[in-house]
Amino acid sequence: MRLLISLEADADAEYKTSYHHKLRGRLWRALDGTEYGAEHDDAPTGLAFSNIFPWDEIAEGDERSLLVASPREELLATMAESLKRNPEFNVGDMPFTVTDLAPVEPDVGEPGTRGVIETATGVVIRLYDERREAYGIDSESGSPTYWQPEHGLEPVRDALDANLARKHDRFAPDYVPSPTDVGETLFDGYELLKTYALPTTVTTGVEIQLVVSKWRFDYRVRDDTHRRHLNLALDTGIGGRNGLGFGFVNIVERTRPGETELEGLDAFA
Amino acid sequence: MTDTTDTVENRSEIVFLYDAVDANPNGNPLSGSNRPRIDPQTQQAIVTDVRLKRYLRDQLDDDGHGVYIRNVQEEGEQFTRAQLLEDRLKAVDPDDYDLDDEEESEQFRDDIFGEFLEESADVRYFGATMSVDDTYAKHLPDHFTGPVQFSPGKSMHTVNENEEYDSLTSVIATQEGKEQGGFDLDDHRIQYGLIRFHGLVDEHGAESTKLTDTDVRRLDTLCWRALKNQTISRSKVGQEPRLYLRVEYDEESYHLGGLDKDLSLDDGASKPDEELRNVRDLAVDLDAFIDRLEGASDQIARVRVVASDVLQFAHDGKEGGPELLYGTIEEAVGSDAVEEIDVYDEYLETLATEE
Repeated sequence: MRLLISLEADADAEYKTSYHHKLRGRLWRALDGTEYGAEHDDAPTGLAFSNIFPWDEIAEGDERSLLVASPREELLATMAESLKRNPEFNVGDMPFTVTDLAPVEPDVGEPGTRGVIETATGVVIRLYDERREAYGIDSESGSPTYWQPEHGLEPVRDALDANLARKHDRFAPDYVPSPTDVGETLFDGYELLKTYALPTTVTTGVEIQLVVSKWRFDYRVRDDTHRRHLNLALDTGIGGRNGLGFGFVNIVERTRPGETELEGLDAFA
Repeated sequence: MTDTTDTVENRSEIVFLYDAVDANPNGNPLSGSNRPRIDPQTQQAIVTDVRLKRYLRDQLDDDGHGVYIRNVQEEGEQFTRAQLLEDRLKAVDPDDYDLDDEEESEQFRDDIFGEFLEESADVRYFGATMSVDDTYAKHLPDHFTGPVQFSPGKSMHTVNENEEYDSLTSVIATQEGKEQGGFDLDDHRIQYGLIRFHGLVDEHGAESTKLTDTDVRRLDTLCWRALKNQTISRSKVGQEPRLYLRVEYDEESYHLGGLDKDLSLDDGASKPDEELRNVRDLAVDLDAFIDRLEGASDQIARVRVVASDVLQFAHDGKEGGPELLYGTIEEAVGSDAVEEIDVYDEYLETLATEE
């Protein structure tokens, strides 16, 4: 489930690319003093969020939006209530006021549905020792290697599945098969759009250089279990560092099984 | 296009189970804060047939079938019945007929009758009351009695209400200046409920609404998909279809009746009611149900069935998943008479197609 937060800019401002840490701070402040307040150090957090969009220089009075996703409606409800009580929404030097809140409930669709999921924020894919060894990637041990195109697609597929499995273990009922139990990858197609490096403050005073990538993923919903997994990806984000706003994804195309992509032709004949 | 000449000839009895986890499967608007409907004597959750039919109508609408009773608002305006009726009958223009001429008036009546039912899948199933004063309505019956009837559903066990929490929807609904404001912030849900519905498809009633065999076959996937697709929002999230079973009889005017009541929770394999939290906490006892099917096997043409892979059953001292259910039904009525429903492969055949 998602919470769509509508914002109005209180002043002219430069759109800062290093907003992640500040935005995370504002969102978790909305959960301070609640049962969720202490969870921001837990991993996976099960909280993902978009950029403040559209991405552009900010003039006073501009309307912007923000999407926050979580598999837990109660957490979003708590956040919504807090934002309603305290609509001041400052992200670093970008001051906003919350003007509206609305629920958004994306669904990849029932089995047979085809679609495309696109990353709205960069995806962080970290490869640790064991995986590097498995894929023959040389690097110093101890710290993660951020995925780059020369590492090939296989580490991406495996890392996204394994990462979603951890989220599944925390947020899905235990009787539902995990993404790593089903023997199929999450997506049918992986189209890399770009990779780029981004200096990011991960915690106050600590800045690291993250390498992130942007993707378009094709999917065809195989069955109910796969539908749950894809919807979980929409609720939690994909890859790592979702708590900083990375890995937020949206459905950008969807063709339901009853609809044909072949206009005027009966694809089921 | 639906073949309207192919009306249903056999009676069917339907048993449909779905469950609700941390959800409000059917709120009661008279309770002040839309509390879940719960029988005060038995503490069973209640879901009205109206609620179920709303899911089914919404799914029909999503699938591109014409639906007369819609819940459509545009710019905050609910469509009136007269507007809905006109929308259904766009293809029949009264100006094309001389309604003072008896023969043409009769033709107009036939045309709108046929067109209305053709364009209104929900009326073919559930009927409708035509309480509108309109050029069209004057030529239609006052009401259509639906050949598909569901009884109100009840949970198969007592239920507990969750602790209250402020749902996102409620929070948003109460923002100042919002038209939909006025709800309580309190949100009430049941912790778990396995809801049991009983339905009947009456072959005699089918004639009056031109309900076809294809329509009935559509029900076999519609109920399942409606619960999958129409419950993703708000307090309806957390509901899953668990068992759909349609017994089709081949003897006229015959049906066993109350088949749903023959399914119960198996005491040995289920947690106590107050500890039920998800589908893994229970098993459905099949003994009485299978006995009745077996006793009527000569009158049963076929049993169409689908069960969730995580629903457990108990029969004759054995426990197992859907395979146990399918196997024991085959033993009772003969393997030729049992058809497992492949929901997602089958439903495509029953979708509306362009002429």
